[in-house]
Amino acid sequence: MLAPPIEIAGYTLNLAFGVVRRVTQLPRRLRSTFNQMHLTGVKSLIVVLFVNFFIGMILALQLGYELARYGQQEAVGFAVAVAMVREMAPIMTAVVLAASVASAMAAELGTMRVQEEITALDVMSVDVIGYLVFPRVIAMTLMAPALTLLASVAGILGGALIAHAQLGLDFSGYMRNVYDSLSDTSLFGLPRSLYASLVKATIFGFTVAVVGCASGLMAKNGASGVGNGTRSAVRNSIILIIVLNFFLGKLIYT
Amino acid sequence: MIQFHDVYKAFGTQEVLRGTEFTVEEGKSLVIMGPSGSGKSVILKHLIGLLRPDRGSIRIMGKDISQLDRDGLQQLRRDMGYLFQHSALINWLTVFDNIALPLRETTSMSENDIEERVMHVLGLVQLEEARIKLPGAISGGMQKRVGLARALVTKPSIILYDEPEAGLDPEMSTSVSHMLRRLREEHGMTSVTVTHSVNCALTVADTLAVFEHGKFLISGPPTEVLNSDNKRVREFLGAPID
Repeated sequence: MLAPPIEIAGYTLNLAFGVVRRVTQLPRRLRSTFNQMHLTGVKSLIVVLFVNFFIGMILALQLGYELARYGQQEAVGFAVAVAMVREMAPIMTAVVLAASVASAMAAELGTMRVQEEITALDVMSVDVIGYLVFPRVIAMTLMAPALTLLASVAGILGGALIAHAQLGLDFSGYMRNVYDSLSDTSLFGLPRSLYASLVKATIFGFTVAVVGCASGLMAKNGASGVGNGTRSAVRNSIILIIVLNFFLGKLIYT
Repeated sequence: MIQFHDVYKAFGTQEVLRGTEFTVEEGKSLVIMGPSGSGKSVILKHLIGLLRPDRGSIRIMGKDISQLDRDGLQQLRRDMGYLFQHSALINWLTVFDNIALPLRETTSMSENDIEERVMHVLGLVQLEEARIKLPGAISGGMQKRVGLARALVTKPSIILYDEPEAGLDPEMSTSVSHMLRRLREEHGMTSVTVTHSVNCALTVADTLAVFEHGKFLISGPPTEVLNSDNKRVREFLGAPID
């Protein structure tokens, strides 16, 4: 008998490969993928924007005070933009998606598992990964970078509000700093910071969705099993986001 | 034809099947009765390949299912139907879409052909008017009939029923039992039914078997089993004990 963490990791990896192997199914899964994109993207948009707007304000506030001690408060736009685009927007968007969407996926699939609906699909020879997991994972993988892009904008605007209200900086000066920060070395036609942000967001989206689906599909023992699955979906997603963020950052910036 | 030969299955230290044996000829109906927790549903799960035996062989239409790989098992399952105890309908799909699901996912039938087939099985279970409803909006008895329609829609040669009368009122239970009987007579399907209802067993069975402690206590034509001298069988079936 395998230890549960190894069993969970093996099942999750197998599910991830299963999704990749089914990529040719996309045309016949378009409708359910669009439905999931609506659930993932549109319904999470307000929370993502709200959280990241405040993250931008917090960054501007704390960095602004520190920079002001050295007379460098004009650089706050630069610092907020780099922090938001490279790190905070991808991480915080993925965390919001883990808490709201991956947990819902785990609860939904977990309930289906304990109510024998997944078994029924198996018995009918329906491809469970193709029918249930693939649309969810593809939707999250596509929506996460889009949400992250908007989250970056929200964070930068949040920073602008504080830069103006607390630090007395004018909006155009702040935005000039933001543009400067994003005009670093170009990679595949994109500023490196933006490229890093989108790559991270795509990988986080894929990871969070696969972990959410795996946690749900592994649920057993009734309602408490669904609860455990939901909890482990959020916990494991957040751990993976943080760990992957370090390695991806290292990979992209070295 | 179904052949269940000398099958053993244990979960941890609990032996559920202990050399269980039976055969169901093509077009015939076996009904298995027994106390709760005796392992009746475990037999059905072995037949559909959800569980594999520790020992012994299970041959369905000539194929030993414990030797089949995933693709082989899926191929075999396409010729089998399974009615779940709690129907196991997908709750976000309408009645129509639930029934159409196996056809859409496992065949290349056109939408017109699928619609024709689904409406035909909805007619068999007398639920044409519920086709646009969600499972949560219909009664337990109707859900059971939708589950039955879904099991029938692929025109299986073998159908497995796990407590088809469970959770139904006596009138609906009788109605479902007669429906199973009629379907078998009209379509000639081989069936294995697990039930607690003597009425259901008498209505549906060609062969009635009583299962306890991993083995069959008795098996034979329903009237023969009901008139058995075996005290335990009479106790279980609620027959008067001399």
